[in-house]
Amino acid sequence: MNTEQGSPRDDGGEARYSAESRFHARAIIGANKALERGRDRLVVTGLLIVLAFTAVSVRLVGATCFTDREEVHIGHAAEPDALLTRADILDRNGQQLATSLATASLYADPKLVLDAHEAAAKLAEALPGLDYKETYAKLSSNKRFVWLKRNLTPRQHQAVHVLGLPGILFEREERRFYPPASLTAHVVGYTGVDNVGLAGLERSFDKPLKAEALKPLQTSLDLRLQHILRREIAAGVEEFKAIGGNGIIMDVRTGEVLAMTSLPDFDPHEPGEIEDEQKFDRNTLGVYEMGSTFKIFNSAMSLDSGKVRFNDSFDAINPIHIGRFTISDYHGKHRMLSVSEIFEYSSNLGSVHMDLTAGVPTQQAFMSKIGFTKAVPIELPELGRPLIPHPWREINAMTIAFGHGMSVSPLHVVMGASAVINGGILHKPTLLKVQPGQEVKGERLVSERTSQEMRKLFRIVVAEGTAKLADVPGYLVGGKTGTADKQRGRHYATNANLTSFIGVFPINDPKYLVMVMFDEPRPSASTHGFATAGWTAAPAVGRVIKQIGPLLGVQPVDETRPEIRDALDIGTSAKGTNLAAYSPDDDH
Amino acid sequence: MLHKSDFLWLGLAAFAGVSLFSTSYRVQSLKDEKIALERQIVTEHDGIQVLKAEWSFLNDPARLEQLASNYLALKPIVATQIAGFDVLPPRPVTVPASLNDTLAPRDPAPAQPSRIEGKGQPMGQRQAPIATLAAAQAPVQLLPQHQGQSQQRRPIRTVRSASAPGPAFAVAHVSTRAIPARASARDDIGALLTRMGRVQ
Repeated sequence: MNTEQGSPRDDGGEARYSAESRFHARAIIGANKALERGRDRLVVTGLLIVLAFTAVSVRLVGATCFTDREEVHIGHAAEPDALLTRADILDRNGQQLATSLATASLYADPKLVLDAHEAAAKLAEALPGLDYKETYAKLSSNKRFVWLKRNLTPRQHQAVHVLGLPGILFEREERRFYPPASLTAHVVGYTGVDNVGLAGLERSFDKPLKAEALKPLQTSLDLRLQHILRREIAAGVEEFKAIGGNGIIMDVRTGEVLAMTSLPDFDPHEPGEIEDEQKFDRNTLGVYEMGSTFKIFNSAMSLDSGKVRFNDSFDAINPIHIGRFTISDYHGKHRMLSVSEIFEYSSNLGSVHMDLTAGVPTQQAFMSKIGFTKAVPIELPELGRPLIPHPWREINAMTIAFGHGMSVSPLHVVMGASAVINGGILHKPTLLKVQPGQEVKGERLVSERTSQEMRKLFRIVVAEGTAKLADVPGYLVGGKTGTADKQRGRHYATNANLTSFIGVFPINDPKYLVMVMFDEPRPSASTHGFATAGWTAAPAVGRVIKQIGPLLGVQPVDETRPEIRDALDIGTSAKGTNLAAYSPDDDH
Repeated sequence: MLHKSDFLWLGLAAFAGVSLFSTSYRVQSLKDEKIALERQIVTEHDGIQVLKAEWSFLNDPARLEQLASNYLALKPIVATQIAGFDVLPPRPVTVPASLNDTLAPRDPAPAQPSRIEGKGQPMGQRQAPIATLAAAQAPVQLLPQHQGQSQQRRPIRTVRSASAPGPAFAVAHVSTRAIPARASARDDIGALLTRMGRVQ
């Protein structure tokens, strides 16, 4: 740029020129500054652009070369849901007791529904049972989410799917389904809405059932036996107008529970509507004074102690007075009774004398060894703790001898009776199937000899004693009845009983035990005014054994055969009668 | 100026680009296929699960008992019907002379094919071919209800074979009455699932 543009022409104009040149100079400086600024801007902009491109390139290289993530694909958004998350529960033969089903539930986003009239009409047509008016009201509402129908069947799902209605959507849900419904309700239990086990096996095996592999849980239950047992108990509850009933079938050789039912029961599909009375499992949670069935343990304990021998006799003449109590007999014989007669006639007096002969500490140790002082070790969360006397005085020992003053659950009694009768080995009761060939642990409770003697006692009760109605030709049933007065407040009610019967078959080589119990049975037309165990529980057990014997493949035995008679012979000297009592011609 | 080698490189680059794109598209479509298959597996699995549940549901002991008492002339077995080998009478020592005759199908011609044939007389009136033991062992045909006039139960007939002097064979012709697939409302798994839905 030229800075010496104006030249002086005259002195007069010098001032003007100089002013002009000053102006020019200033303009030139201004132009230079603007140029500088422009260049700076260019550089900055260029740098920014370079920076941005560098960033993009770095990211590009990073994204293409140094990333292990897959390309995001739109299909992945619609990846199918996982398979089911809770394993099945099966019975011992593989029948399903509980399973999970994937169901589709139908919901709508009313904002997206184009024509509520048309949609409601089409849905009502595809899903019979869906009310048109109600659906229309839902679809034309202002909400963003309304359930239309939960848990569609696959066919319904398909029917709605092909309609292709906008705004009508499905949600996949997992539902627990119990094919036998209430039949196995107490044992299997139920789950809540979040698929969490809340009761029964569903609860105690909650974690294993949800394990990755979804291995089915095979229980020891047999659905067929369960059905038979429940049917007979239900019939008894109906006939005797009882407030409840329960029963257990156990394999005495392994401790497996083959069937276990408690009435009233419930529908596991509707856990919200179960009343406490229905939820209550009488077999495991309820503890009762069992009455005369406890004489099984009293006799086994006395005989096994060595202080009482099979042929001994005890005083059943005089009632025992202790403190303010008087102990007497229900079926009073008022004479000296042998051990087998005490068992057969269910003599309280004789039992007390046997118990006192064995001694209070022996009894206490036996009750502890047999597991009656703590909850039953079985795979269920609902377990009742026994009520045991503390301190264990003589008066307690005397009442426990005939089954009062100590409360245990029916499963306790079944566990103990199995041990007494199976050769003397106490097994933990289990609800899991024992696979063939699997070794079963157990500990000796009583000697083989005691167990053998107990079998004879069991048989005579059915053959000649209080439980003749439990006999099943061919299946040599043995057992013991128990009729206990129920406690009402501080007293025993005389007209409210708890009747139970424990039956074992075949008694010459025990395999299975069936226990049935009724709560407050009333006499019916066919029981001649009686509501004792021999008239209520014993016939029910007989009917159960008659039906399950062939199912379990038990070989019927001819009770007149000599080796059977020998095995069950209680000895003429003890009984005073001869073997003719076993003859099948006898009208029992 | 383009040299020959430049064309070669261009061609290679184009080939690489095309193959890259085609591989990418193939991967894409395979992935879609995989997802479709996975979804199908889930659907099939769910279907199997439902069928299993329905099977268990229909095998409900109470229902079977009801069906058995309605449609079978059989009763539960009792102990007195079971016997061991030791109570059987002693086996006869002589072997029947005609045993071979009894076992061998002497005349194969009467052994009619047992499959259902479309022509000919209606199934309900067909005579069962019972000339020999072999024929008697042919499967008994169960006739669907809609196929003929075989509604009434045919009596059990005892037919003595003319050719073989063996024992008499009893052949029961059972006309299957159509067993209603659903015995009661409880039998509908859909209804049950609906009921489960109410629990929410």
